[in-house]
Amino acid sequence: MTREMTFIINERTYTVQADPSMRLLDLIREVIGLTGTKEGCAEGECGACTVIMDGKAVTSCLILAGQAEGRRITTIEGVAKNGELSRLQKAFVECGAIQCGFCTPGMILSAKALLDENPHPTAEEIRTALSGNLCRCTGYTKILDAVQKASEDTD
Amino acid sequence: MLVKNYYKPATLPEALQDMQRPFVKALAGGTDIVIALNERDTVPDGLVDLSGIAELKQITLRGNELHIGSMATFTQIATNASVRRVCPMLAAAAASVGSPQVRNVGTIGGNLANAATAADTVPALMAADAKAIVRSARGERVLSVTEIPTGLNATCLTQDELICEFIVPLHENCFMDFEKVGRRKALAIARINMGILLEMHGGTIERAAVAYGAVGKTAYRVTELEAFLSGKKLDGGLIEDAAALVERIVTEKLHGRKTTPYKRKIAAAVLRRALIKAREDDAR
Repeated sequence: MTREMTFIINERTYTVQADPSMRLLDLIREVIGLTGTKEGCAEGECGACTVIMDGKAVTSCLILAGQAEGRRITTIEGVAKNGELSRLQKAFVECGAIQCGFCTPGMILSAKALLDENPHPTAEEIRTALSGNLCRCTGYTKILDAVQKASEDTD
Repeated sequence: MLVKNYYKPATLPEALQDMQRPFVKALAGGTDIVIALNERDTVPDGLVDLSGIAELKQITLRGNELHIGSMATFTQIATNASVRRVCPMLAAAAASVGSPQVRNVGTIGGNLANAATAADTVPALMAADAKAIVRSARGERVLSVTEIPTGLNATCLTQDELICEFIVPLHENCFMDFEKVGRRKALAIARINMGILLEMHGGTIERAAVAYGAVGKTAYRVTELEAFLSGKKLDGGLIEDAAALVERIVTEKLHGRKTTPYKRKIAAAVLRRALIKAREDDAR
């Protein structure tokens, strides 16, 4: 059963007709139309669908739209500002932390949630923050390096 | 469309009324049920989303009891200063669940209500003698956490009851530990998990509480082991005798399941690990 629902995504308010029992992932991709958030495993194991909700990294395949109503959500589309990549995104490019790119939005958002809360994490804290995100192309070293680099760079 | 009706009460009394509706299920964090809904493993007529009820998310230390709202997330519990001080095994259990993303959403009440045998916070709650306050529109019950799981994904709760709060008593000067064996560190479903509490006095175990999960259909308190440990001096001989006893208990409990040879070894290994820590802790 659909009803009128309001979501705050990337600092923009969307009022849409949606089913509160659909997954947040499907709402973001199919109702809002932001397809940067990827579906991997659909069971909370791979982290490809990670978004930030009220400052915390969450897997959008495990959350229903009704639970996310009225909460502040950031997807990969909200990370670059005014057409310019964030420091974290630039670090991913510079470190070669991207191959096929499918896991990258989730990796970026898990890392962003960490850095927003803890701007200078230890290597161990970075590993823990990314422990819920799988990458099947690379080793993880370049991804960890990129987050480390972003935490060291100053604007 | 996953379900026909979606209720999002703002208060607990409203939630209890909503739970009276036929064929509804409570939605806590959702990290288990959303997968089940998506795979059509469960098809309720309605969901009662508890995420809007602020009073269920509180963690407070009152007198000699820790009160943990059922909608407190694993992240909240793992990082809460009172939980870490009063019940470190529960904080460790919460920190061991899934991934950061799962811990940010999954709740302690959902962990118990879903009643997976490997649920990480359940053996810690059991070893801490935690009670659960369970409410429905018909009234309130206070249950020991040990009474609640009755089988695989089954509890003694009726369809309209909600777990609202956990009460964890303070255990002054006790050793506590949570141990877990999984196939990997992150996102591992426990192959075994254990909460242990020991009241020690001058190298002797005065009182022991040990609960295992992922051995059999529900987590449970191992009373035979507790009785064996109580009143004994904690030395190398006792550790080996206790490990041998737990191997026998687990073998009997699993009666012939094919994982028995592995489970009895890891059950003994986690016990040994915890008892060695307790001995070092007591020597300090």
